[in-house]
Amino acid sequence: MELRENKRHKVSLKGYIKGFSYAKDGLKSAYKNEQSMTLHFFTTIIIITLCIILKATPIEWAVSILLLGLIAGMELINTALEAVIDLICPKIHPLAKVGKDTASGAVGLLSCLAFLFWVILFGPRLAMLIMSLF
Amino acid sequence: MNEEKRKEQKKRGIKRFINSFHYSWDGIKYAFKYEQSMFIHVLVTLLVIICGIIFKLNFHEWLLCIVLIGLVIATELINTAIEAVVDLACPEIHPLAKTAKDTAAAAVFVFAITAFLCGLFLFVPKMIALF
Repeated sequence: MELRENKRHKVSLKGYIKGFSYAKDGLKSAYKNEQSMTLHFFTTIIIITLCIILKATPIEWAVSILLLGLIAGMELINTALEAVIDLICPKIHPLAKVGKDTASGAVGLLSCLAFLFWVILFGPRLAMLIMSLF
Repeated sequence: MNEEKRKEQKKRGIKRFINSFHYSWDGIKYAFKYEQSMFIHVLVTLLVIICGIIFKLNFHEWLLCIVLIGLVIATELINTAIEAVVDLACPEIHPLAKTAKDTAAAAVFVFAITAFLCGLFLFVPKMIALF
């Protein structure tokens, strides 16, 4: 086994493109095995629909997409950390619980903040739109 | 016994705070030396800053740019950290190790795509206004 210290990665196009294939594998496995990713997918569709209906400005579009991407990426990091913890120690262990709980807490905190953000952003306009229908 | 050792190590103090900067700097140096994507990300960062100056972004748009840049670089560093942990835990090939590394790479990819899309929404209206 080569030590990581001895290898100096040269900047290469082939290595860069390989990174994309790994990422694609990771995305496929995450969507197959985690039910939270499907929930996030539906949230994405709902938020994008809301943005189109309420005619958000470009900067509001940008921040909404930023939050959506943030949650998706954080869920993927959570999945990666869970895989690593299972790799090291498949049995029940207090530190393993700390690791998994903290990672899930990060994703949960981010989701709650994003939800709060979207309520503040879209709430008034959505309320006015609904009231104008009656 | 392990719990006591951990509690001792977690003692607060100004020394630990200053040490954390030293460790962070070591981490950034390592990531630059061994990850080619860091180089590309820094290049894109410079490009974004130059475009920001050319198109004269206002205050809020600069804030968004800063957040996007920081996000992508931080995620790349977290990816390097997860790869190091996986190599530490299990140097042989193992399906869970592949899952962990692939998922971390997917996270970087998702963040990079997100930053790219946000940049599009930020810069394309300005480019349209220019022409």
